[in-house]
Amino acid sequence: MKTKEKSGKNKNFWVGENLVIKKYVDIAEELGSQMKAVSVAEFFKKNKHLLGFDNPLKSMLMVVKEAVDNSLDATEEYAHECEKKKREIEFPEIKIQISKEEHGLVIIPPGSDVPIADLIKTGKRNWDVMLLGKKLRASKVEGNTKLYNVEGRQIKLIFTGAKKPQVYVDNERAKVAERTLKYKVSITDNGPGIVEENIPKVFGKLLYGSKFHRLRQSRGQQGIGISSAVLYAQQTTGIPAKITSKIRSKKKAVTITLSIADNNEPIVHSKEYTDEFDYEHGTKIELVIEADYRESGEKSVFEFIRRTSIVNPHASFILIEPNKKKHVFKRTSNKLPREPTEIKPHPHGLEFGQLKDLLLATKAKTIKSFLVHDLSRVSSNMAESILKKLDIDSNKKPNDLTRQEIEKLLRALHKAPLQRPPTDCLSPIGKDALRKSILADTKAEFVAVISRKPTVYKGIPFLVEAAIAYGGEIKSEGMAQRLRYANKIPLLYDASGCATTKAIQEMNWKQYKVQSVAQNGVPMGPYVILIHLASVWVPYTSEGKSAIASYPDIIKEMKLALQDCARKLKSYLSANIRERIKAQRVGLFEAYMPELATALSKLTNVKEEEIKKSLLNVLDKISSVKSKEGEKNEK
Amino acid sequence: MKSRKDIDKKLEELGKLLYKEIKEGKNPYLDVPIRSLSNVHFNPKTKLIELGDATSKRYFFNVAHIRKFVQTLEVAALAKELLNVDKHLSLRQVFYAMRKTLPGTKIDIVDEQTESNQAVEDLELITGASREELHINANKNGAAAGKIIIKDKGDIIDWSKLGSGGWAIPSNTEGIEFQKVDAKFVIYMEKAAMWERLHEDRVWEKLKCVIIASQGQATRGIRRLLRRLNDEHGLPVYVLTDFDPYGWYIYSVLKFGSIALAHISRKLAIPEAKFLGLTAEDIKKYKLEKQKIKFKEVDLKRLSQIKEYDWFKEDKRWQRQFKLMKEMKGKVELDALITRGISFVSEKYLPEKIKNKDWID
Repeated sequence: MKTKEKSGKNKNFWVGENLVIKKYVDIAEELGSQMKAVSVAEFFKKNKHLLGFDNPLKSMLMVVKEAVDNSLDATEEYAHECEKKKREIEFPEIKIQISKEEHGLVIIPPGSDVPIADLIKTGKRNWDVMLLGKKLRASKVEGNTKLYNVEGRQIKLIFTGAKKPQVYVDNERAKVAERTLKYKVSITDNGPGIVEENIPKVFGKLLYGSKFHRLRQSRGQQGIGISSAVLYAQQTTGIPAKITSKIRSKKKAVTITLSIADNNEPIVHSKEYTDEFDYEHGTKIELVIEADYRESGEKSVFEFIRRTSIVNPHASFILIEPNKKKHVFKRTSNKLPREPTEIKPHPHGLEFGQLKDLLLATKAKTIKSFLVHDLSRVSSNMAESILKKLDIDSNKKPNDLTRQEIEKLLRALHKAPLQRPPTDCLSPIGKDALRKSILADTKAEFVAVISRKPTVYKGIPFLVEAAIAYGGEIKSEGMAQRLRYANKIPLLYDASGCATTKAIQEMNWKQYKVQSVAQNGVPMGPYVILIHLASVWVPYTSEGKSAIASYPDIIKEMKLALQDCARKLKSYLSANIRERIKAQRVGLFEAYMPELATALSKLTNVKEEEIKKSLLNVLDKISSVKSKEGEKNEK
Repeated sequence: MKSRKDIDKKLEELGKLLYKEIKEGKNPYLDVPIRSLSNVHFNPKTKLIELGDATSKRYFFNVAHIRKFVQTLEVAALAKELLNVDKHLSLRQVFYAMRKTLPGTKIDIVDEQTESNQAVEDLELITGASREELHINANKNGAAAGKIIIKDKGDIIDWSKLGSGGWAIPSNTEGIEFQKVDAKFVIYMEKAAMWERLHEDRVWEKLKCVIIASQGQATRGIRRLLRRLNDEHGLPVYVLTDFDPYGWYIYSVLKFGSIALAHISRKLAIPEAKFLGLTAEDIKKYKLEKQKIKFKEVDLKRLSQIKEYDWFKEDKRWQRQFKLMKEMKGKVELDALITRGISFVSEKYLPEKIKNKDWID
């Protein structure tokens, strides 16, 4: 466990930390310090909501999300490796299969609300007791009575002829209740796979890995990783996680079942080797969780995968739902997104605690060297002049700065005329890839896309991408569908408090020929509006990490992006409306013309062809010069 | 009556005019007299409901007009065809003849019969030719009996020798030739049952008259027939209806014309028609009060509407009837006379009323 106490202050993992990430580290710290008194399990139980496991529906999404994040990171890394080594790129493919585990009845002993075992029907009149997915053998069968020993307690089933047997625990009548729903979530990727020795650490240790210690655009900023999903499964069903992984160099895949012990160490239950694996290399995780599954709607797994696929056009997704329905979200791009790079903190975004921590953790020998090497965009001259002005010795050890000195330094740094931080740390989806992908998803008639240049807010680089799709197969009833993303992760909750929603609502849509706008400012009709915020640090509104905080700089960028798309939409719509009305009119006239020609021919004995020709001449004249009648009709 | 040739020529002229406009690169249009209440009025001089002069232009190259424009032209072309082969179609058959789908679209030229019916009426207005002259008929309805001999399509028909059914009145009575008329007046009644009663009692023989009936509102064919008997042979027309706002309206249409057919009031209405139906005085006289059918809301409403008609407004005798009916809060049917005897209506009611000139003019 990489906590302060254990790893010591020389471990440089504070570098590049900032607030939100710090929160998680705080959790880890707390975890570490309370290790003796409180178990990891208990801590998790208490803080489940912090990690996104608020309710059964959201828990399902969180588990899928964590696993998909993990897989996307792994497969992308692999694809980049391929690219670097000039091998044929193996594009990410991720399979998500969710199945309903049989859900029968549970036995709840008197005076408790925790089930002690499952009760399952095994024959027409026969029932058995099951524990952790395994059928138990009865210790004694006597007439219409069956006896079992479960964890030192005696369970007795008496078959009375009623539908269900009567159940006694330690000779006291026990309750039999419907068990809450269990689902098996299984996610497979074609990533590099994980070396056998590392599997327990990656999946069986909270906060393992390096995601939280880097200042770069990453998905993982949203959760605390796949191990939280493992822990959630363990907490709700008690069934260990099953990991199967195969690396290129090995012939067989390895399957490990594991859980997380109270001291945050992985426990491996079993290890097997198998020839069966879907890909040449990759990782599969299977978790049995207590959760809820919805087939459609904003907060469904389908929607999550669909939305994930839109902003990850270089990856394919296959979703198999509990009802066996299979959805394939095909890759639409042959280009890998740019690999985000790590950056050092920019002085304009520093906060006091952060600076203090950086000073404590740095390897630099002098404060000047610290400013130049540990922060971004501070030149040697700039450092010299700042320190001189503050009357701080530039050779002073960073650790030795007094509180007042740190405060002074921070103020000076905030005001210093510095270049903006580098923005190549960001990995946008890209205009063309996003256009293709949203077109493939919505089958719209028109799509406007923009990927804005990176900009900086409080020393933190970020960029906004937006798209507006219109018409085609987009449903025209109700409000526009809004697709919100932060660092390529779909945001499904708390739409109303999100900066993206504010940006959409603050737009004057009518100005852009959008015919009807709901009272809350969202366009009505066949529109899909997508906003993506990519940043090394996304300011979320809360621990739930489902809405982007409404910083004016961010909203401004979002609105600029939307306005750009809306302008394109407007010119399309106005041309479209004109064309359509014209085409409708002309089409109607053309449709009736032969009939009129026939009737007139009968009345006058003039040839039909002659009449048609004359009518076409009139039509040409009328549709080029708008006649008075025509104008009236358009109104 | 205009000859077939005249009508044919009219239709051809209409077509040629439109073609001329098209050839000149103009948006062709039809001038259609407006057939709504705003363009209909009662002329106290002629005592007819007449159509005003307001017209509206109906263009082909106009999204809102094109459908009706083509419908009207379709009827015109169809009418020309009918005239050329000298055959007739009913309104229903006209609807089917026009029921085509425009190629390559889902647009039908007509969806409902009301559309083709309207197109026919519009064409009447545009050409000044009646529907019958355009060889388009309504369903036939009604019967006639009396001492009259006619010629219809070459057949000689004696209205007094047609058994219990009488002569079935065709929808188009324009072509009927009266060969011998031996009657003093015509009785028109709104109910076939009453006609059968009078026919069985041979009233037409005893009173030397013609009896004609339809079911409810008189058809155009019957109205034209009545009008012609009145015009050409000077026979007074007596209208026999219930003591009922609806019965009075039937009388009103026969005498003054209707809003829907205001454009042909001059051909159909019979300003000299007289009301021989039940009056408030008859009810008292023949003690029919007990046979009263209580008014419903709609009856009262209808009564107050009729009361306000321009042609009844100044008429004291009618206003008296309306007032008495309103007090009675009910209506009485002619059939109630049966309570006085099976043939009371033929032997007593009619002869007495006619002898005493006990009608409302």
